[in-house]
Amino acid sequence: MTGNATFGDFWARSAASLIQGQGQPDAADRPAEAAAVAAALRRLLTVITRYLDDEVRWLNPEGLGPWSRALVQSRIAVQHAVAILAECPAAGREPPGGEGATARDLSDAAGTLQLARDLLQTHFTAGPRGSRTDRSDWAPVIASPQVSRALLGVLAAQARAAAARVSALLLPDGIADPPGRAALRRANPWLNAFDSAVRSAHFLDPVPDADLHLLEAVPVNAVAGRQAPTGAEQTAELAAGLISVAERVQRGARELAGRARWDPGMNAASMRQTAGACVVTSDSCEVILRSLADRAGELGQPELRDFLGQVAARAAAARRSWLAAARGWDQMATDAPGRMTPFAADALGMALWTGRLAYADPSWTPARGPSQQLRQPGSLAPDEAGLGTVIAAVHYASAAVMRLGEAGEQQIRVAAAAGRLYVPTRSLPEDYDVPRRMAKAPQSRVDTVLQAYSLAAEASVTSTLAVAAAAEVTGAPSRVLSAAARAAGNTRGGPLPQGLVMRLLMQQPDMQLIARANAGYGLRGLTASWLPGRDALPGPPLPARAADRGTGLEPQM
Amino acid sequence: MTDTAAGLLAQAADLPGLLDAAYEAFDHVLAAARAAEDGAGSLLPAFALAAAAAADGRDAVLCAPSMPASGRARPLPAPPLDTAEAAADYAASLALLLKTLLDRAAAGGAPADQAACANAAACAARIAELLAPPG
Repeated sequence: MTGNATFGDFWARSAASLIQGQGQPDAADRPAEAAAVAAALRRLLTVITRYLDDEVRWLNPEGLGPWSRALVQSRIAVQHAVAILAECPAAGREPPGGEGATARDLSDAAGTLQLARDLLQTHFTAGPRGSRTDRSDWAPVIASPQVSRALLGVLAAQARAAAARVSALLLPDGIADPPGRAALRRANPWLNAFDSAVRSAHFLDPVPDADLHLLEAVPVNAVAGRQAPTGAEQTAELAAGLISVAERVQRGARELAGRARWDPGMNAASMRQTAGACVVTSDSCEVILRSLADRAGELGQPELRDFLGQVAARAAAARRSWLAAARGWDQMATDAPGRMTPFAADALGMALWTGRLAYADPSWTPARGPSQQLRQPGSLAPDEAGLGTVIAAVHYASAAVMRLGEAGEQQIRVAAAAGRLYVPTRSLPEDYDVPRRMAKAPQSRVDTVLQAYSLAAEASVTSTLAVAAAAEVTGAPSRVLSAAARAAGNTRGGPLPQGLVMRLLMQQPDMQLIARANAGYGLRGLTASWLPGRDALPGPPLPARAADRGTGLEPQM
Repeated sequence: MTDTAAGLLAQAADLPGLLDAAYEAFDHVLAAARAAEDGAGSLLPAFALAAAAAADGRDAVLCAPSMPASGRARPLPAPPLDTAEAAADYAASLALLLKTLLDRAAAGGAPADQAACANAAACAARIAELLAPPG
């Protein structure tokens, strides 16, 4: 989605290392290579052990569910296998003539699986005694039970594939087992035990495909460098640029509130520019959504047209709320006026990318320019896939604005508590006798600004949820944002927007749209009770990425 | 009412007087931009960011040591502007005047006054850049 490497990229490579050589017995692998294979398998299992150790925290000793039991059993099985392989006297020695295919594939699988774990670890900071602190919005997603279960399933699938490769070496060949092969023969059942434990848990409490897709989508925690649009970008490039800058803004916003007590970057200039950027971004999002609504109509989808019109109205409401928040800073200042921070510049950059997507002029800026002509709907989204691409970009931008609303409210609260908010003395009533140019902000004025930010934050949440619903309906790739918010238990960004989605959808009832949105939000079945006299909806599957790919966890009955 | 805001600036006889008038002028631009936002249509982005720059410029003026400490607000009457374009023209022309006078003030005086005037002039330039008519 964002161009960053994902967990799925590495996992796929690791799995391919093990699967590609299956069913191709390699004579060179057999007795002479057994020790090298044992060493490579041990490396793979050592990596898996690290993953399992990461996951121990979700063990619940008071009520072991199937997945907690599976984790305990998995750790025991892998520990046994590693111990057996460690006893192999030749383990670790490279055989004469180098590794054979099986040992090489197992080593490659171990290496890429370790890289995948390193990728997950970029979302955490190591603390004392094995604790870890979240460094990104993806951290709680990775730590969620949904993703943890999917991860355990992935590891079991790796163990199963490794066991299959090892089994090929254990075919009876009429000679006594050399040490390496004896160790493999003893270790292999433990790999199968690991796999069985996870299969049992999956049978009792299946891992949905969506959770596996979410795990696959976890990106490396790195932000692309600042990039300004050149004016030569096509729509898809503008959408990608907008997503990139929106991610950068979201990441920056995460740190703001904690620093507001002391950070010179928490200053009136930056707050004003950021609020202004949110006005402009929300405004352009509305423009884009209205264009997409028109395009949906042109593509013969009147229900989607009306739906997107409703979503655009939410973006307009967010814009109005942000205008009120921005006006709150007209008569408010900070202890030092300061300069616009790089973070505020990023927020303005997001406004610029959003405007470039909304307007036809490739050199558009927020200034009163020569052309404010809107982009033609057909050029914005040439086809249905194009609708999803642009909606995804709007989704990311809306989510960033939402995060700025939450962060801004917290920043103001913290700065006010620290006595950092001031007002121009001239803006105070005559009876204030302050012989200075600036005075401490009266509580009433602080409250007014806080309330405006609170409303802006709420309107931005509503707008983002509406865009998220549009992403579900159109199968936009940004659906992963909603799934991540749900997994992380984000109470403002993801969960069950029943009232809103239902209101949006039922203004123009279209059963297929409702069913698809419901499926995306886990609301299946709700609609039946909401609509008296209607049967439960059939709930066609969402257009799924990699829909025909199995989880590797399907129980084999 | 352009003359009133511009008149205050023109009447300033010294640096404190100029800073005092500049404060009122930035505040006036801010009010004009905010008043125009609701019906601004495609000019909304320009007005929203110009308003932020106007507030920044006003705060920058307040940082100048020569700014009188005990002044009181002298709200200027809102100009009769029928359209968003007219409001933009008005604010842009006032911002250009502010920029010219503050740039001149930034060339002399105490360093802290110079810095404050330069910062305020940059804000005025930003307003003019955002709201000046095309072409």
